[in-house]
Amino acid sequence: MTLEIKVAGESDVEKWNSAVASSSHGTLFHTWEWLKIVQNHTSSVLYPLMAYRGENLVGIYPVFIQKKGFFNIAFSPLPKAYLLYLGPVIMDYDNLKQNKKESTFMQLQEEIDRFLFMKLKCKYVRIRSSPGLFDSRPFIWGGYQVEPLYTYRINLTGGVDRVWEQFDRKLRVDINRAIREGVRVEEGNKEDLRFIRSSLYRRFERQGFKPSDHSRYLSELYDTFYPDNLKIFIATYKGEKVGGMISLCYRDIMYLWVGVPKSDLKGISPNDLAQWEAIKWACNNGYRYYEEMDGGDDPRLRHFKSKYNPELAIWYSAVKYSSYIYKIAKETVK
Amino acid sequence: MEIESRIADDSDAELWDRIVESSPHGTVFHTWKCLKILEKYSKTKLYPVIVQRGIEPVGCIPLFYQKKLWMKLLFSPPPHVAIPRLGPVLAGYDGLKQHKRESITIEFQKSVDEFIFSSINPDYLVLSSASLQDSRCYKWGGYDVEPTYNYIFCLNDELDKIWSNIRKNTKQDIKRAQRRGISVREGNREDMLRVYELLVERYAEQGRKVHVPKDYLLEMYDALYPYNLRVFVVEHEGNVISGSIDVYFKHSAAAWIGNVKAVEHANDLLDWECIKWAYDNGFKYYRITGTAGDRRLYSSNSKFNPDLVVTFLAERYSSSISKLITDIVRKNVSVKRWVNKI
Repeated sequence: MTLEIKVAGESDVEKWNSAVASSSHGTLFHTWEWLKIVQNHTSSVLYPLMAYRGENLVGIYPVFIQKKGFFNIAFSPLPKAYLLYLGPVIMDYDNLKQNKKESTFMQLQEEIDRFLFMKLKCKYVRIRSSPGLFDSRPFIWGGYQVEPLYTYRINLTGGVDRVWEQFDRKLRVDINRAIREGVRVEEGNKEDLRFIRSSLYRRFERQGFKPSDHSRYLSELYDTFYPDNLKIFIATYKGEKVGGMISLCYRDIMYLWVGVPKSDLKGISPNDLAQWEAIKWACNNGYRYYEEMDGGDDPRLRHFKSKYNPELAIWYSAVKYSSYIYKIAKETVK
Repeated sequence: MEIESRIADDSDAELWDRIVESSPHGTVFHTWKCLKILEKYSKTKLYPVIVQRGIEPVGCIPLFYQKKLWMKLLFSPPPHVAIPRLGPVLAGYDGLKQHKRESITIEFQKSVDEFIFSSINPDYLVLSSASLQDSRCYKWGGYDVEPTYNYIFCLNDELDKIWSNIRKNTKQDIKRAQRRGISVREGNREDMLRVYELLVERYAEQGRKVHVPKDYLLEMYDALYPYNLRVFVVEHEGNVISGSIDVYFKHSAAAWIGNVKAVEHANDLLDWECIKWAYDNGFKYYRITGTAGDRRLYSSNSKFNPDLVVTFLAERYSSSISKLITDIVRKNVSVKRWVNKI
């Protein structure tokens, strides 16, 4: 039976969110609330697409459409919105048998491509799928250029002690030193959100980036998701804030989402301690994985993050152009 | 201590095989005796690169060199030997922590790259990894990387459970094939040749040619039977109508060549019997290489409900001109298509 694509409206919120929660590759970014906040802070148009087989919802696919001159281009996720993953969520994916997983995803991708390229006349589509959606063949066979990307997940199921033992020895020494030197880590609030944001901006500016001001966006996310899905950890040293992080909690995974850049303190690493405290918190609150988001794909960051002895999880970047000519044009303009 | 790459020779055969044996990336085709056979029949020159830190082995990779027109091409696996995956093998990988795995993989690849580009300097280089999942060091080293897929059955479950996971229609098809008097039995050297002939006939009907030479299969058979290779044939009304050559290495069984198009559902029965044989003989995995990446063939295996595993294909050109020329030299024979399909 063919799939039918519908654009979700406010009356579909419950269905949408339950689809996101039904599969391990659903993330907080996929939730209706998050997408709507993104929508409020951008000129792009959100198409929250739902795919039905008869009466049954088989998947959701949020896409942002931008107008560039005469053309439409599609993103899932939208760039520069602190969204790492988006792309499809297939209903109850982990419990499907292999041939059902494949046929559903392939059909879904075909229908979405038809919708984006034929109906919305998009010239370019960029998708970054989430970890857990292991199969990229529907993209490859649909004519996308696919690149594997990696992130790190620390398995917490063995308990706090086991996680600690698995850390690189040097990391354990660093964490212990931070404790000995008097670094303290506590859960933070909205005030600390500002601290994290401004230290990030300072670091970016020093590196020559001009970050756009996302403070209202971050603040709205905080108001919506704190404290259930968003937590802040702040490290202080001699009364001063020296490190910290914002983490997201969704399903059985806690994500390190935004971290404070490395401090200037000599010989002390407050961020390693903040991260360890967050991992302990996740472990004690029943989470199964702690993800160091986007840590795996940067040769510089990899070095810091693999010390935690994480597992490697794959996700994909997939891009497709409507025609070869448009591809050449776009790459020339770049 | 510095990590170093060098070409292995016959005196290293034992060390080479020990590395292959110790690694989750090692397959039977990585073993020294198989590489020699692959070299002979692929009309390439074998460069078995071994990487060591002092006397401690880090890994190895078999590279196959071929000159076409004026292009220097380097492969792992080589073309026309029906082996879709080969590539790097890292010693003792499973026992390492992630941090160590990464630094070893990066150092290994850097050393191999230095060796390749200082001594062979190919215009085009393609690697298709057997089971290494982490492709980052290739990407960071300037390769184009693409994910590739295999199906694998985990045989740790009870056989009943594996059976019950198969799609309902397929289970009925298997039973129907049995009722029609189709049966599967283990075969010998002659049976393998019969399977090969069937393959040639079927390909000819479709206007295609089998590139794998018959002598190559015979030599593999003589080298690997019975511990690392077995033949299974499907019989109907006294005739062999299809078959499968399976290979075995450590805990893994793998379908290699066969599944000739035959009367309906004969191959479903064949697949099931091969999985059962591997299960009964204590193998932990049954791997099907190649079909998962083939849009036309994937569903014939996925109905058995295997797990999907990802690995990668990495390509590198010496320049954009060599990329263009390689494309022309390769004409319609896409290496990517070939590695995915056999």
